[in-house]
Order: sequence, then C-alpha cells, then structure tokens
Amino acid sequence: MTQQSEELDQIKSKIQEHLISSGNYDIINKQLKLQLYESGWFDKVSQLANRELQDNSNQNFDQLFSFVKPKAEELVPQKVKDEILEKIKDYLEDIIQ
Amino acid sequence: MTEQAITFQVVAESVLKDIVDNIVRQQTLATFANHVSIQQQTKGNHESNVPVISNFEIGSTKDIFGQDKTKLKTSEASRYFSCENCGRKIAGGRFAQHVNKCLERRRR
Repeated sequence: MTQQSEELDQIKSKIQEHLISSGNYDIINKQLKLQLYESGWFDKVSQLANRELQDNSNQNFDQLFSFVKPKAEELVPQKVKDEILEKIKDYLEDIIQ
Repeated sequence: MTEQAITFQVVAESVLKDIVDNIVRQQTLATFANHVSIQQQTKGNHESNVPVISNFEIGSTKDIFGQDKTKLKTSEASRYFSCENCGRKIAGGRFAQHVNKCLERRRR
C-alpha cells in the first residue's frame, strides 16, 4: 500500500508541475472558484468561519483552519466536483501518453 | 480487499482535493484577517460601559492622523508666509486667496 502511495505522489508531483507550467492550473482553479461562488459556497464558508471566530475569538489561524477545512470540503456540491473532475481527467488524458 | 489502482480517477480526485484545499485556505485566511482587523479597530472593553473614544468615533477631538482638531486651525493661522509676488507677509489661512488676487493684479 505504501509503495503505491509513493508512486502516486511521484506521479502527482510530475503532473502538478506540468499542470501549472502549462497554465492549466489557473484555468481550472478559476473555473472552480466561479462555480463555487455561483453555488453560494463562498458565502457559506465565510459565514461558518465568522461564526466560529465569534464564538471563540482567541483562536489563531491554524486552529480555525483545521476546524473549517473538513466542513468546507463537504460543502462543495457534488455536481461541481464532478465537472471539475471531468476537466482534470481530460487534461490528464492529453498529457499522459 | 480492493487496492486502489492508480487510475485517472484516483489521480484526478487527489488533484481536485489539493485545489479545493488551497481555495479553502485562501478563503479562511481572508475571513480571519478581516475579523482580526475589525477587532482591532473596535477595541475596547465591550462589557463595561466605559466609552473608548478612538480616532474614528463620532465626538472625537482628533482627526484620522491623531492630531487635535482644534489645534489645526490655530496652527494654520499663526504661521505667516511671504508672498513671492508682492513680498508681503500673509497669514496662513488667507495665503491662497491673497496669492490668487495678487497674481491677477500684477499681470495686468
């Protein structure tokens, strides 16, 4: 299992380099942000973070982040996830011989 | 026991997760910084009834640079400037007006 995850990491880092240098990362990133914004995700996450800060305002960034992150991930609508996954897969097919 | 084959699906999902992570981090950082700066501006003990007058509140005697508002006018008036045109000494608050008129007169 660990050998596979090492391989996975290697492949991933190569892909990421390619992704960024080809400019595709920016395109995908922007589209994802746009879809999240339209679906109201940003508002929900800001509300969540703000409420959490109000409740215990002595938190520093790390604590807040580790609290918000899993919930924010769940909140991403499945449809958005699928669309972006499609885009990423198309891109992968292009660059992987 | 199913091992996860390194398929496109697995890689794509992992890439997506990273991208989402970054976005979430950016967003919480922005929200957090916002909150902290608001906290700093509305400083003071909210529970007690002691009003803390900072520069921004209504009824403050200081302007946004922390200078006393009442002193501003007097410091203006107490300085004299010499007019380049006629060589006279003019008070600070009247200077602009004087130079305006002065240049008109001389030009004719």
